[in-house]
Amino acid sequence: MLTTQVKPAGKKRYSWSHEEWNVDVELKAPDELEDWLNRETKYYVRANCGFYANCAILGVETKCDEFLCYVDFYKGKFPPWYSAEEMAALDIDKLGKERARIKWDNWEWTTLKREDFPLRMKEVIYIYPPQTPLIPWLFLAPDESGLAATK
Amino acid sequence: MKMLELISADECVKWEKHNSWYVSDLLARRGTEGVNPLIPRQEYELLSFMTTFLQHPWLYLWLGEKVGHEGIRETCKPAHRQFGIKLGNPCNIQWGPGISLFGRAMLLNGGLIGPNDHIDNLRIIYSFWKTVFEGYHRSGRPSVLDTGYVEQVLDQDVVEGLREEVEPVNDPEIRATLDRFNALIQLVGFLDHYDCRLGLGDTGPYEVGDRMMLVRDCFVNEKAFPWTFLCGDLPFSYSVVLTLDKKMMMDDRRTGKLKFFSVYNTGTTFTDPPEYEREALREAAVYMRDEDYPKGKSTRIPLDQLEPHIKKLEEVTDRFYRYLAMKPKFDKILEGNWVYVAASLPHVRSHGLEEEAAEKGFWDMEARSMNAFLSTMEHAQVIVPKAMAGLGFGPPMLPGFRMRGTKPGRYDV
Repeated sequence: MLTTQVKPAGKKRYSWSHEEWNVDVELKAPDELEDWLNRETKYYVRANCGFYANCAILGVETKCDEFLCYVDFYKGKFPPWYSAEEMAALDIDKLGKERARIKWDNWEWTTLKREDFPLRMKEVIYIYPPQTPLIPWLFLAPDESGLAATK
Repeated sequence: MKMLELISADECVKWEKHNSWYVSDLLARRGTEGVNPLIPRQEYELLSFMTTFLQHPWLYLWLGEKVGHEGIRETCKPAHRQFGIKLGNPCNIQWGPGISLFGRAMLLNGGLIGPNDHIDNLRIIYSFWKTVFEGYHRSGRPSVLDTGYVEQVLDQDVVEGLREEVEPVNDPEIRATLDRFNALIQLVGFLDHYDCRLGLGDTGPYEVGDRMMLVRDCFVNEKAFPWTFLCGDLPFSYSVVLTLDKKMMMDDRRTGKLKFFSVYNTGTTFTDPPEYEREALREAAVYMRDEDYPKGKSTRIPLDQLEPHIKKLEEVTDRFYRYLAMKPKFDKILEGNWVYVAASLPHVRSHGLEEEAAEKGFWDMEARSMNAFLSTMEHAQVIVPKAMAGLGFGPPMLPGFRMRGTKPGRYDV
């Protein structure tokens, strides 16, 4: 397996994407893709209503076909319909440490299908850039912002 | 040649994805708010969102021809120095172009268009929205989701000047008066804008020494609306500057008592615990502004002189409820429609183009949206929540992509 190569700006497929990678990864089953995304994804967009999200465009080769597709993956609930009790109990800082899951079914932003596996993933495009909090101590979990270590 | 520079069709993917996150985030939070049974909000939203999706692209292209791309980016520059103006109101800046995007979602959900229909409208709307926001937020980023729910618009020296004018609120009588005033200006802001948030909005939090500051604008008398007579001699807007105890907030964030403190793109402040703003409040100042930018000026009202304003606000509230109770439902749908159409008003008003825009058809009904509305009106209670949940912000179809097409009306909510 080749290591991930980040495409330089001039070689990107889309000038507007955050980051594009050339990869060469054989994936036998949907769980392997989920594992790979959890291992390699460096950031999630945190929404305080109760989810962390990312969305990638994948270039895949499978069953004599090659195409681009979307994969949407989340921590927490999306759509974020929590009951009042669930919302009161939700700790958004803790949620960030959980594992992300691909939203597979009946969803326009995941156009890869389970039956497309096994496949070879050749390209990964992260659409949206990471958040850059203006007041880190207010937004990030206290251990991430460094607030936990201060008096 | 002066013009709005358009993003490519494929870049719409990026902003549609972002918008679906942002909108679902906001709507999930707003699900905790009440509704006004006198106002057919879902019906007028259905109409106005489709109206603006189909109609406002001409407005944004026309503005581009009038003031150029840089002129559009500079539209909100006055809001870095002044408050109490709609150019500074996040809700107007977000929803001016933003509601049109709901229009696409509603047309898709209503089964009236496919994902690639009106793709140029999508390009124009996102190009305008993105360009305006580049000049609106201090950060230059388009969304508070990018910057940790911090909606900083006013320049730092302006907020530092405001810090000099705030008064302590530890006197229980002053505090009670401020609470009543604060509640009433928000209520009248809602009523004057048909129960939507175009009538109010917060910017901040700003860090000023040992304080965090919010600046809350409430637009209690928009004179472009035919029902302005209900507002009597209320000023165009009231603003409240609130300072919060920064050390307390940091301590509470560290211990986990304060789970989050968020100001959304629409200028809505949500905190967990929900009443945290009241707990952390230390000082306040109140202002009124007679007219919207580019006219008018702000005047400070000392906290011990709020009573006459409270009395006027109570009278106006009473008049609004009587007006809404007597008004036929379809009239209210049309009036609500104009409120959302007017979300783009600050963009033309600030460039001195309000009258010319009206002559060009700014206030004219879009016939296609009225037809679409009449065919979907009875399903508004189903279509609107689904589309507004952010679930309807599906990607346009692009070459080389495996797609699933749209699923009109089949989104799980």
